[in-house]
Amino acid sequence: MTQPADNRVRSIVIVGGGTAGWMTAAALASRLDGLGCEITLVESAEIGTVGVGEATLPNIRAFNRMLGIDEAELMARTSATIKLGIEFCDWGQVGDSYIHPFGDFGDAIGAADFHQYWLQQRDAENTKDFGDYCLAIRAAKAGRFDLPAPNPASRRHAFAYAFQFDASLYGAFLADYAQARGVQRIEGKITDARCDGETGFVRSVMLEDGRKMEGDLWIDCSGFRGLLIEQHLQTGYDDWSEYLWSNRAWAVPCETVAPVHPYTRATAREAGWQWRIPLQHRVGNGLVYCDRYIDDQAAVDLLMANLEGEALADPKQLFFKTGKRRKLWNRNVVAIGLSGGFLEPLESTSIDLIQNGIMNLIELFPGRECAEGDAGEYNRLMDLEFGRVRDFLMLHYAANQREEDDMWREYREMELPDSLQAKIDAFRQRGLVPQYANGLFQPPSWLSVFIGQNIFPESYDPRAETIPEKNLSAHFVEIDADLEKLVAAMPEHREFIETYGAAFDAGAVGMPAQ
Amino acid sequence: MTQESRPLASIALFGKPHGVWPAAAVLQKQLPERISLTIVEDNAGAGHRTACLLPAKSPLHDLLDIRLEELAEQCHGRYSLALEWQGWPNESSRFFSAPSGGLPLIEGLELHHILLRAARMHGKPSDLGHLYEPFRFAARAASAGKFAWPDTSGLSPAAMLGPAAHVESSAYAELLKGKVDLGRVIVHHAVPHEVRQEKDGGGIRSVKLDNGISIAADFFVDVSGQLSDLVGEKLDSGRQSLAPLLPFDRVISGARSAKSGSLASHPVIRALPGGVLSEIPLADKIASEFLFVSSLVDEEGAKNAIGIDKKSAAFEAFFLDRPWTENLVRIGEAATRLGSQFDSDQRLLAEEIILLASHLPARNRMQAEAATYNAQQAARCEEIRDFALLPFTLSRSDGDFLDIARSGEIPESLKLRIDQFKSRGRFVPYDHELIDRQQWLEMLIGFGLVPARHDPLADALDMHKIQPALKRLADSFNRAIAGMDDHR
Ligand SMILES: Cc1cc2nc3c(=O)[nH]c(=O)nc-3n(C[C@H](O)[C@H](O)[C@H](O)COP(=O)(O)OP(=O)(O)OC[C@H]3O[C@@H](n4cnc5c(N)ncnc54)[C@H](O)[C@@H]3O)c2cc1C
Repeated sequence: MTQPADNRVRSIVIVGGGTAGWMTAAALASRLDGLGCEITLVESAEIGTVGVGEATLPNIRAFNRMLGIDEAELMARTSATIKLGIEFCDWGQVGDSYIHPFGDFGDAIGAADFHQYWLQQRDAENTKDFGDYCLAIRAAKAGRFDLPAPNPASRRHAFAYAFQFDASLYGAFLADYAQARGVQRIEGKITDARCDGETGFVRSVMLEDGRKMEGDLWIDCSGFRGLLIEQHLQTGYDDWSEYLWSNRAWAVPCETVAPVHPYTRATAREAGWQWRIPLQHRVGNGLVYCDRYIDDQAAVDLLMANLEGEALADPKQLFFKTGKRRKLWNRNVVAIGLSGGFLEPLESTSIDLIQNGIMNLIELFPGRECAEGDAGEYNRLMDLEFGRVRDFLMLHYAANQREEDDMWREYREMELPDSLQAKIDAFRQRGLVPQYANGLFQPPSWLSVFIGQNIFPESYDPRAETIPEKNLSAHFVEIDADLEKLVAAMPEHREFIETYGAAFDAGAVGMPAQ
Repeated sequence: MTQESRPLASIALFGKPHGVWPAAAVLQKQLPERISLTIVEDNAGAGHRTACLLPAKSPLHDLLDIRLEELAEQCHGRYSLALEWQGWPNESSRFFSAPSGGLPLIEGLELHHILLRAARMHGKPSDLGHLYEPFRFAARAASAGKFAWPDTSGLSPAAMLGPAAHVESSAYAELLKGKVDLGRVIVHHAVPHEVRQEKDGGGIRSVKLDNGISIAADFFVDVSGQLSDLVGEKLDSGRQSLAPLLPFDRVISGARSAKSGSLASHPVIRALPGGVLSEIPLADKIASEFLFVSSLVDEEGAKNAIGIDKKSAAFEAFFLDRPWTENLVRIGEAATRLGSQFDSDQRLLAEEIILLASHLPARNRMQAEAATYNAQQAARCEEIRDFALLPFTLSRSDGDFLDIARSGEIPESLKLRIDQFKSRGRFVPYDHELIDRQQWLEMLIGFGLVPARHDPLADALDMHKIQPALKRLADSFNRAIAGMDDHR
């Protein structure tokens, strides 16, 4: 006897073959290996995928490592570049710019946190911008990159990196991985689903061509439509558009003209913001906006007028409603990806939330009866993460001083959720930053946005006063000089990609060579 | 508070020596000299503990350059690797609980899932505790009467050990007092007598002591509770009684001398009729504390339990929702009381001091600092509270206080932990954990919880291949224990 024998999940059906679907398929194929569990993924070429989602967060490296994926190979197959952070232009005020880095600021100088010393010294003659004390930012600005040093004592250890890749190529890469490990791919359009009369569990779906598919556990990766979780189970949606107003986007790729930067850029515009994600063979661009403040035509014109290179395709429009499914796991259906919820891509959190969903599913992998406790705990964990991401995104809008546009003024005046207001108050009063062990955004992230968007504390940690000014200033000079040396020793971003064996070969993935 | 905002210039600390001196030592070490420190030490008065347990990992000791290895010598104490529970979870049981680092994952899975699968394969899931026993390295070392310091190279099983020091509270307070530059602080030996609040009903303006002196400060730190008692509801701290779960209303404590050879080498927590007796061996005496329910044990019975002729005092287990209100922060016994069955109270005090140092107000307006501190303290307090409640919640012995404790409604955070473990052997991690995950797991399993399911991923393992790996692990533990010195 193992588990009560008939309670094992024998078949999993993943509905959808976008990034969420294939990430889930790859992870389950790898982690459930040996359990005799059949995994099938259904996708519809007719419906297609959302086709965006190119900037990631450093956690994705842990995901790839879990799957045993070679990083250089992944980069080469997906045209990936390195991402050291996001540059935010014009967010506090027009003309401002700062980078939210994947790395720490400064050094352990004394009992107080580094930023407290910097706040104290901010107006001193030799003190540089806060971002100048961060290796990830310095390297990003210099267009250089090298792998972090493994030794935690080294200053070159204090940063992480992520990727900017072609979402469809990442999907294809993971599809190969998953299929090589036994995942069955079915092409077809689901037109109906049958639920158990007693439990309400989804038992089978019908495809347009008459085929029927059955499964014990269903992973809904069907995108915004939420085919099973919403259309069939009517789970309900927590609409967060009152907090984050953007509801549309235009996306378009363009040619690369500038050097390929190891960072993403998000530029604030009158009624939203524009992204720029440099890949090896092209640049992904898009405008995220709220249709209350700008019409669709004006939005697409704004985007096209602000491309660096020649557009490589027609712009594509996308519609979304910010929020999350009331329960991401309902009965025997787990919604992962856009079907579970969407928060605008300002901080590249969607793929990370997909990863989170997958890891939580593996940790809470159920029996066939999908115990309520498993689903409840999954939903608690996902709600917590969605809530924290929401607060962090809202901060970018709330902390603005832009005078000329209605949207920005109204954002500034809006009532914030208590959880966010408390965080802003704590920073404004005494430079305190949110500390949680398990959240996505750690103190350096909060600090970069607070300071980058001109929220400066009224006072700082009294412990910062204990180091004499002269010594402090010497520390700052030393950090600055050290970082300068470290960055100068790094190869240029392009050069790194080539020597890492990660150069993109368009022909190898069936794309026309450039 | 509506007064004008100005930089913080003075702090006054109130409390018993074993709490007030650690706080003073840290604050003095970290604060600029322009902020004055006044210490009101109450070294009269009964009620404070004879002994305290100090955990191996202590940010407070790190900060003050106190080495655990030196503590026992300096404070008439001893060291131990574990606590022994006698009479829990069943009347006849003995159970060792020890800080135990972390066990390695096997094929990405925690050991207990694999062992549970093995127990199931043999049709005896209840064997889990038995199968787990060889892997409880620190607890086994303690129960074998062995002792070693953690291996800092991290290469041998001894890296998992987390010895605690048990020390005499008064000597510990002296040691910490020695860390304070007394020339830079004002010290009064007194107790607070009357509190004067700001006119607008906000924070405290000054505190009159029983010797007639009045102490004015920008910020007040109450370590032992007297100040809070005087303030009462005026600065509402959201006191939450834990009496339904820890139903003791009296405490009696003291120390009796004992020949060193006759002492147990580790602290013992004994479930007795009507209460819980904890005994902490020191260098040449034994410190006892008996928490009891007065409707079940009379004064005479309590004296007999500790073997010392002392008077009992009132006790109520509690914690505060808002330990920091206006310009008064309560830490230590003023903020939480869980009883001595663990190092809970002392550990929380140390955490609170460190937390306070990093949230010290910069100015006399301090709402943001208070709100952040309260949220952070709550997370730490919840975990320690839940861990302290666990044995009461899981105990299976019948009778008196355990029946009462089990009928109380347990906090949501603990309920979720127990439910998740019970249903699928999963340990729920929260933010700001202070106690090893491994120690939690050992308590859950040791107190008899058998998960209804193991992690389904364990079904993919080839148990024949796993067995030698488990044996190797157990053998390495056996060898390490055999190679350790006898505790005595
Ligand atoms: C404007 C915009 C920009 C974004 N930028 C980023 C970013 O930079 N970083 C980031 O992390 N994320 C970003 N995202 C989010 C990211 O694109 C998604 O999280 C990611 O692509 C996952 O999408 P998905 O797989 O859930 O859905 P989709 O890509 O929509 O896939 C849905 C799948 O379901 C299938 N399907 C649907 N209905 C049926 C049916 N009836 N039968 C069979 N199959 C069906 C489809 O064929 C498709 O395969 C962005 C999103 C938007 C809208």
